[in-house]
Amino acid sequence: MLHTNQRLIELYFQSDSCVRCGRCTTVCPTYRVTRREPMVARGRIWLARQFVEGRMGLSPTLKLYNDSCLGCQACRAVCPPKIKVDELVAEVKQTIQDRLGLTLEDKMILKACSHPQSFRYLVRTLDMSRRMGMTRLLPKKLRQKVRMFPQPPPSTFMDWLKLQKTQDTAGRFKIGYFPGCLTNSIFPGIGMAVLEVLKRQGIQVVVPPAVLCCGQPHRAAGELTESRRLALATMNFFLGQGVDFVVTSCAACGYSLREYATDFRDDPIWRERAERFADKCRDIIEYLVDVAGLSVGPEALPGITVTYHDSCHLNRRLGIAAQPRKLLVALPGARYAEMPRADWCCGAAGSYSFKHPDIARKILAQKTEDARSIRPDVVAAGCPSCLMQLEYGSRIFDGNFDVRHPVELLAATFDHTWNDR
Amino acid sequence: MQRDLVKELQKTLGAEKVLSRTEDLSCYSYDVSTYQHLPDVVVTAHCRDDVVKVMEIAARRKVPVVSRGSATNMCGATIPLHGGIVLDILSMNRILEIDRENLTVTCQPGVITLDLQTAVEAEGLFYPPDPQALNMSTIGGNVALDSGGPRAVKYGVTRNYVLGLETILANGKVLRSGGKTTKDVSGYNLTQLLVGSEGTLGVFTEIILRLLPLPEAKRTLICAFDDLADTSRTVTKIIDHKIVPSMLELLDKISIELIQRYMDAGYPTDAEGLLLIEVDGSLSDVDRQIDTISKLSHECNARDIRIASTPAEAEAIWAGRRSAFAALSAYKPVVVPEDAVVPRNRLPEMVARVQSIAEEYGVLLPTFGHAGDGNVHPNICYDPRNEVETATVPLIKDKIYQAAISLGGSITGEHGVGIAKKHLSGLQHSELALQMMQGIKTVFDPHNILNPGKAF
Repeated sequence: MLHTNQRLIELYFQSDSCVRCGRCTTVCPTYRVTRREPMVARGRIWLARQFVEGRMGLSPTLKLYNDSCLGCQACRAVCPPKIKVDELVAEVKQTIQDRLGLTLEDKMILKACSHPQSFRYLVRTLDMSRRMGMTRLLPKKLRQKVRMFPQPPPSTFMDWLKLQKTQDTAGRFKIGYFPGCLTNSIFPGIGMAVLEVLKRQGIQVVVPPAVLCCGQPHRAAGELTESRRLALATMNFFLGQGVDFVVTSCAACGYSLREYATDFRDDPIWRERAERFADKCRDIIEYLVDVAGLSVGPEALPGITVTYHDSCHLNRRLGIAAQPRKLLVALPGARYAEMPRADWCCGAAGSYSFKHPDIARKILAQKTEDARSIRPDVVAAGCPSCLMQLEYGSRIFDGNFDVRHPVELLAATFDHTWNDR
Repeated sequence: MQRDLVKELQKTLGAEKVLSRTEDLSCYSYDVSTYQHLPDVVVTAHCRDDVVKVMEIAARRKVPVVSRGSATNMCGATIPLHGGIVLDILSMNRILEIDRENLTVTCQPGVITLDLQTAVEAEGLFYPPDPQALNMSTIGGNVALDSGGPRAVKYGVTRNYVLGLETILANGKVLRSGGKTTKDVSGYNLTQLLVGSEGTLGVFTEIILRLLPLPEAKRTLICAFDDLADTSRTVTKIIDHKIVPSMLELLDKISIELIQRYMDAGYPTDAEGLLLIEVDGSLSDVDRQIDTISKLSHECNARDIRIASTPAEAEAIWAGRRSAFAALSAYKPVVVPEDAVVPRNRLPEMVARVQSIAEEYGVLLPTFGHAGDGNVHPNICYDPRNEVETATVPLIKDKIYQAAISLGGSITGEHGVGIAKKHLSGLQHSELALQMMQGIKTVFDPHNILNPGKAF
């Protein structure tokens, strides 16, 4: 055994039970578009085992096959002995990274994530150069990445919030809202909808003065010092405000916030506070359906067909799948239809779509095709990262649908002007 | 030599269809069996021409070729035991025609079995063979291994549905056999010879399958027994009363317990044996069959008989059976499902023999299987890191098959010989029979390049 990483060794032993039965081949998005054995859990586990046993050296190919796992956990759900494939892949990735260090691309992405306020400048610049035709000068690979960004909104969520009247301080509950980087810079409407819906319930909402990063990109990349620093900033703010709950409208952020309990498990000073904080965290849909009790407004949505795409973070990591459907079915005037393979990853998977654009694009093509098969007007998803990817899919593969967070549709039932936003 | 081969394949087929990096080869060195061997190169065929070109190159260079679908077989049939080329046919996955007038479907070998079934059922038609891996296995693999499943008791196995084949022979020539006709007695039946040949005689590129009309109705019932002998006796009795259920599955006590521990299928854990039965046919016929089966089970001391009243209830009953393999995997790291078949009326004896083998070695051999056709799967569960357990595996295995043969059975009902049962071929077949097989192999593949070392 070449490796001393205790966690990797544990996961290696757990993978003893892989008999290569092939059930993972029926649910793996990367296998569906490549039909290659190293691109499915069965193969990735096999390679990881060869690597741990020292039978296979570190190579760009090994790294590629390992990194091309989306981490969507679909295989883990159907695996008879429940092998923790995503964790095994993550530990191999970490081990490789410990030896080779982060790539320049990774470093740049993480740097940007640490400062989510600056996102909008990035998006604006990209959009500007796109409109001026300057992106034509970029190499093809980069040009494709630039196309992924939707048109930026006229203002960010934070800018909009600053223009609002001071919020009333009365309320049954005090709830903290964590907007997240993509909501702020690309989908401010989601944040507005969250505030609108909570306001209708007579709840006092507090929002951090500047948009914070949940730390997920850094945790996923193994940059734990930075992810803990970001976590402390978030916890300090919300615990200091004495909120009853902290809600998120981004599945990835929501998962990340709950992971703080694990991040500080071995920290005697922060452990208890991290647990208390994680306990307060709820996804907005989960909060509205399970905690508050679902209430919809009187305004009918004008005869639209709505479908739902399961974000992997929401569905498999947080176990939230029934609640958003319950919300969508309850929308007055809208028809809900389930799309085939709703719980298959859309290919966004954090920064995956930037790092592996070719595979992500093929996965997105299939996702768009599945959505199109039921001709929806709106595809709803509980994660801005998925929404961005689905919007891109609708644009490049003639999906002919809009994308919305379920809470945006809910807000529209209280105030019809939401439809025009 | 390997580099030459790779270069020639790349030049002839295009670089994107040829995989030769260590990491790629490693991932094509296995299947569900416990054997492994590295190929020299992997080729992904996209059409018949690709297969022809590969076979021509392989024949000239006398390099082994192993065709491979989803590699879900359990006998080592897709292990490139002598290296050479792994020919991946997964990309040849089109259903070419569903012929409603002739009740046939024509497809490429890489179609997933479940996809084919779903497509024909949308037309009100029925492709019955149902290997347990049907949501991942390919039709090409099913034909090569002559796969079967629970429905074999009434509907037979893959072989009974293969009408015609387009096969690429070892020299790259295209052999067409059979067709869409329901009867055909001209010459030797090459189609049926190729079915179950485990890739040792040729590579399929097109397959014509027979279809049935989809039955009008089906119903499920579950019977619990306090005695395993009563359970298997009921199976014989049902058949004796001229009722052939569409599925007839037996579970022993350990299997029931392990399944219930894994998921709640509603099985009674204090029962010694359980029968899961599905009947199909016309609405009235289904009710009649259910009545008779209930009466017979009662006569054989069934403790509890439950008839599913809704499709959802029936589905819940079968979900338990389908998760059997998963339930065993949760119990021990490695599960090797053995596959013995005996004449139907010897089933009670076979089940008893398996029990005594388990006692002799002090192990659990959870047994379930397609009792209706005499096919049982005693599952050897072991921990590969436990040397004592691992050492007894081959002994238990051989004992099981000696028992099956002595009862007039076979060493494999549906999993195939591959590498796993090769040493047992002599136990079942006479020297003469093996010579005949060798003769056939030589005619088809004089240089022994097609999946060498498998099938018999």
